[in-house]
Amino acid sequence: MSLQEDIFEEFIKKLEAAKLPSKFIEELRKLWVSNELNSKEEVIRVSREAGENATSQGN
Amino acid sequence: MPRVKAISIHAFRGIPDLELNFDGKNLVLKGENATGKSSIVEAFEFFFTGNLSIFQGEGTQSLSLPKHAPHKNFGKEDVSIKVAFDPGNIFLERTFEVRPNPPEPLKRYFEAAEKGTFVLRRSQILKFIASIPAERFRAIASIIGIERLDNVELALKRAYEELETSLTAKKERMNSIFSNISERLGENVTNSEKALNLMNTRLKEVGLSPLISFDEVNKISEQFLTGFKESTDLEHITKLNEAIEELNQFYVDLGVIELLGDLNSKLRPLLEEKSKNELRLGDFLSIGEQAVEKDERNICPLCGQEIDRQRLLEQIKSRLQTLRELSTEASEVRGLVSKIEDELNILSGTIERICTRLEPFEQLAKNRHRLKKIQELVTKFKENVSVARDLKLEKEVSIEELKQTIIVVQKIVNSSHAKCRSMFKRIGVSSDWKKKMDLMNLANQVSGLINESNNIQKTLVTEEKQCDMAKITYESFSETKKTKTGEIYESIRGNVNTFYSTLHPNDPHKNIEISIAATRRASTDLKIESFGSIEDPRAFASEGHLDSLGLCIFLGFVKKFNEDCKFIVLDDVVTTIDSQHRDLLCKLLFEHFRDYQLFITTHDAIWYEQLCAAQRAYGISGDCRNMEIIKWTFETGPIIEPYRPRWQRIEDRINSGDKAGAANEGRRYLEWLLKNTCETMMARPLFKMMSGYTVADLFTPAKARLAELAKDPTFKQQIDQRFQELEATTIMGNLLSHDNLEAENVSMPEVERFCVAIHELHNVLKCSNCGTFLKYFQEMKRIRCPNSQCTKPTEIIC
Repeated sequence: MSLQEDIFEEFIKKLEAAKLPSKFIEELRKLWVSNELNSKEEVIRVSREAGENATSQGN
Repeated sequence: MPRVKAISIHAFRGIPDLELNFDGKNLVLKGENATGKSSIVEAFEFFFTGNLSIFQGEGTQSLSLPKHAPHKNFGKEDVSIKVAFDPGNIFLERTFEVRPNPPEPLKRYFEAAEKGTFVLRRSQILKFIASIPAERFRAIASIIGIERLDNVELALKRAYEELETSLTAKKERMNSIFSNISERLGENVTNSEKALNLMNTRLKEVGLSPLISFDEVNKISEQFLTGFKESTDLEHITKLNEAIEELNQFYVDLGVIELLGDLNSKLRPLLEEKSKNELRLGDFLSIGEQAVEKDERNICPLCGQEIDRQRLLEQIKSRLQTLRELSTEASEVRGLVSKIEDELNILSGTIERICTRLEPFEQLAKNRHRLKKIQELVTKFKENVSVARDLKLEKEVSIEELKQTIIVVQKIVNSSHAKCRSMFKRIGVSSDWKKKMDLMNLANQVSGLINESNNIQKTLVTEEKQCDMAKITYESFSETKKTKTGEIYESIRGNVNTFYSTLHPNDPHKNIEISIAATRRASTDLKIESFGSIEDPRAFASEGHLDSLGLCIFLGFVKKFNEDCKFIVLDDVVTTIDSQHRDLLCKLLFEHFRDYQLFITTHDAIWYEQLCAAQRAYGISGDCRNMEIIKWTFETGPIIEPYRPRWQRIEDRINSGDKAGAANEGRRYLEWLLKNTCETMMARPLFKMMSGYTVADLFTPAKARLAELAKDPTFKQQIDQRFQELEATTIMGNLLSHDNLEAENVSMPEVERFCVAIHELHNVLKCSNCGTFLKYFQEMKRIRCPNSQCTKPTEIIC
């Protein structure tokens, strides 16, 4: 595993420990794999979706 | 571990054709300046990375790989670099069209080499030490392979900032709504329940039924108006009442003026000429980027010259990022602009609503017209503020203009309100009804504000969650990156300090610290303990120390991160390091990097000889190839020959009857010998500021110092004899009276006698066991072999 991947996996563990929704974490991972996690717009999009889902599920 | 066996270079830089075979051994290559050493280094860099770092970075915009990498007599299609690897004698080739496809055993070696971090040039060392922390971080990030993370961190940061700005604006609007309600109801109100209670108390006082919720206000208001006066035009009264309500509700949050002040203070430094120029350059680059992206040819759309399109785009992106994205100030400006835009939108919306309410009344047409004009001004003002988001303003935003606008609006609103009240009075309303009417108006106003706050509240919960998630995401990422990078720095710190103390064993500078800058994103601090305090190394260290520090940091990172590619290229990196420390550098390289394949280039004959001698001293002569570029022309490129000891070269010239060549070599040999003697024996030649030292400058001080030190009778006798012999030659007389040797005036036997005398003096000054040049150790009061590996070091008591 490269250092970049190692850092990313460690970061994902932190998000899981912070109990962020698994769907949101999954979306972030997809962005990482597709090399789009460096896009502010994409990050805002997945954050908005995750926030709306959390509200609708009453979390 | 794979080793580079040979390289074949065709049509590249200063090399038309070259085959260089070094059998997987270390390579030490000497050559004067501009004889093609760096072309060979660049050939390796191009082979592994497909790029050349000398064409990257600031000030290289006019340089292009396809245009400037090929030899002048060839085109880019002719360029070919072939490298052979052992074991397996694997041949791979790089051209502009084809990249090498390494087989499985070489894959990891290539992946590590592709980063290009196996090459160190002196210019890179200085740049690293002298750069700002952010640039230093980028240099290290490139070595450890985490450049991508920097962009991810930036995107996460900006996403969080944008969501937070939107959330803050909404929260501020909520505060503004409740402060407005509090003002109207005359008590501090923080929620709708309290507003309802206060409203109901007022309604009861005038005999009106209390409200169950603010949703009832419209219904009750209509009922009230219906029963108010059957004979009066109900529609007229309703509209007038609505106009009064709207005018009553008019409220401008003056916090917008403070926000404008903050915006201007943040903008001020960004509007200075230098910043503006950079911003203009940013605009130009953005347009250029689009133009290059659209045009798929490798031609510059501006000047029509051939370009490496992909590289140009990467450079533009990187430059744009430096110019705009990384600025914290720019990010704060964007946040402020959003807040001010929201406030101005609210003001514009309020004016619009008032205009609509005033429309049915001819008496208020003039006021309405004026308000419309002002609304246009507010829109223009907002557009002007919006420009600041991209830092494109010519001057600061005028606070006074907005202040005056608000004052004028307030005046028109007051005047309209007074007129409406007067019109209402003329309809003939009793004071009792008037009170009730006022209360209904108030209920309407509060109800409108409560509705707005409810709507905001609904989205606020979701936005808070979004913002929290973005915050946790950014902070977790940033912290993980910082911690991991910090761990890496910590893990190489030991090696860097070991390497540095190998080079500078008795140095006042120690405890090098490389750390993540605590208060900045993606920045690296470099500190060293000097004379008891911890400082930036530039505070106290000499240029030579800074060079060796940069070298140690490079080697520290390479040791940890280039494990899969044990190939290090040091391109002329010891220019400012003195002879003593160069010996220690040999120790560092040959002891700590023994399992690496080293390729060292130099133009410095003394350093070259030191490296050759050190190989003998460390018993690794069989692992090294020492070569010299003896000639370079544009047509031939570098002509390289294996290293032969200087004395062997002189003997060859004497035997072939090359009198002038032998005399010249002899003169250079003597100059080198005297310089080395002065340095190692701590002689004191007269200080020269500008020019180099000649034989005439060094001869007497070297001789005097050796005479002073030589207490051992045998050694003293040998030294005296050699100097006498040397002085007895005619050439020596020439050298001491002139700078240039007049070889024509001396005979071949005389040249030979001169050269033999130098060689014999050199032999006296070498360790009889390992051949290392002797050195005077002041504390021990001895002339001694400095080679720690020597099993039987020569030692002379002084």
